[in-house]
Amino acid sequence: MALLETVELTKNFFGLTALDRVNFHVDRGEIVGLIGPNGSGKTTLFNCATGVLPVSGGKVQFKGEDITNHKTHEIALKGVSRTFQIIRIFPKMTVMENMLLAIQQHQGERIISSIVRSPHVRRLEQHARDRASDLLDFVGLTHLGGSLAAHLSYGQQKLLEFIMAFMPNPEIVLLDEPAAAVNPTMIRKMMDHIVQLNKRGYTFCIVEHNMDVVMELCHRVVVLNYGEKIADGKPDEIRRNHDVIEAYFGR
Amino acid sequence: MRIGGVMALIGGGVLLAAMPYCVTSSYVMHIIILSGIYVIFALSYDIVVGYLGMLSLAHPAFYGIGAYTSVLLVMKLNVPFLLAFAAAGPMALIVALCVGYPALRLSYHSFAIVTLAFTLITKIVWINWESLTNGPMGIPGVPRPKIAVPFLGTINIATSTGYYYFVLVLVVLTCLFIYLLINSRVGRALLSIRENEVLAETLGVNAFKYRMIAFGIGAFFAGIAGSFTAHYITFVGPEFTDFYYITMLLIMVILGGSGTIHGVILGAIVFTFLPEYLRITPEFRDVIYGCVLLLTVIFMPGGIGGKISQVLERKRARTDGAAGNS
Repeated sequence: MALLETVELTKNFFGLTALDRVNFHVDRGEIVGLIGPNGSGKTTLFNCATGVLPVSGGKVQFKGEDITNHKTHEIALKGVSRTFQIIRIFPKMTVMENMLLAIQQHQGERIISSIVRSPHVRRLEQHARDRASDLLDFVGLTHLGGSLAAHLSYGQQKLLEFIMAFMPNPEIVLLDEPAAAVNPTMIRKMMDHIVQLNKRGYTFCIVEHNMDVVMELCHRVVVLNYGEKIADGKPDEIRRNHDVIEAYFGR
Repeated sequence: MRIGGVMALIGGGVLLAAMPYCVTSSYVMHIIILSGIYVIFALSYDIVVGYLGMLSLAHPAFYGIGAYTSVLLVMKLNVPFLLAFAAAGPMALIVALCVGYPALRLSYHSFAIVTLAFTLITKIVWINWESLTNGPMGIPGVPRPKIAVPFLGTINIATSTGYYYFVLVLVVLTCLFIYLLINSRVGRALLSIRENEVLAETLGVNAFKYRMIAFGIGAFFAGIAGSFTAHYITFVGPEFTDFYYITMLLIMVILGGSGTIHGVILGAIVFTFLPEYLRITPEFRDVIYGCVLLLTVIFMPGGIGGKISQVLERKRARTDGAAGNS
């Protein structure tokens, strides 16, 4: 059984078909690349899968359960983390607060005990802090824990958003262009992080335009063009696939 | 710094406790009590406008609902004051949840319009449900608070000193609760929704639910403020739900510094006293008041509270810098 799966997933924007009956799946432990020319529906697929956009047709399944059109926060709490093409963090909060926010809802709601700071909530908060410290250490942001997220450099913000996704110990992480607009050193760093986290058991689905990154990282690559899936296979197969070459470079 | 903070807290506490013995004018005392009410009212409004980031225009309705609830319970059903007073907040909260359930699903602007409509409708209810509310005349002769304390007998609150201590307790409890709320996980979730709703949802925050919580808590404290006012001025009428209050609250919250507790407290006090103080020049009163509002907006866009934080931060940065250089 696939971890995350779309069945005949369709999304229309006022008559424009952004996704056309896409069958797509990610198995546990995989790093799957999702590529395609601009406007081919990659981010739309992420948005439909995470409930940010309503689905027009077809199904989204997570661990065999139908999650089509579920609320974004419900899908998040099931274990689906994601990042965004344009960095989304909370700039007016500190790095640590950003990290803590990423896990607190997963630890249970507890409105009243949160306000009165019950011992249980304090333990949860301590656990969250410990985990945040470990993860910040992993990406080398420990020294910035107390800084406002807005004061970080672009690359650091990108790392923060990336590592926030791992706070709740997710089952799958959807990364939207993790290597976009960062320098080559940072790209290298990001790739190392992804490989290491994958070895620790995290499953990835990555939208990326940088072909070197995709070909090196991904176990399997899926190609979208005008909302249709045109290829699905190992990086080497994709590189030689006639349809893919045509989609990217024209006939 | 720590010791300084504690000293300031003790000093402030002593000053607040000794206030009735320092202030001799009953008129000034009245303004002080009024500003206490408005501190509670403005703080409750800031939860919705400042921390949640939603422009609610329903606050005067909750103020009125709190006032009418306790007055009607005391006068029509002979409920003891404390019980009736305790019912005012929850009543406003329940109504807020009913209004919020559809309204908080709407966009920012639609939400403002729906809450505005709710305020207008509530006022119409006060005016037209004559059998219950005595219509546009309002209900005069509201009994003053009688608080039955076990073993100590009954405390009658009738003097301005009594009202002062009563409102002081309410202000302290409100501030404490809101401080705890804002600095808790719930407060963090609220801020995350204000800053970036899509990201908050992606991290598992149920935005709608937290909006309901904040809207309800805001209404709760507005209800308490309304109820206290009614038992203080011994009158309740449709003007409790007047749109005038929105203007007043927005001035206090925005010019005080929305999203900061100390700023809103200062804003409430300053903008209760200022209009009263300006009565010395009846001709120029509105002109001066208008100028003060303009200048505050221009020179302190973050409000009084924002300015204070800014100055403190700059000072801290300077001392840190000096320490780093040596």
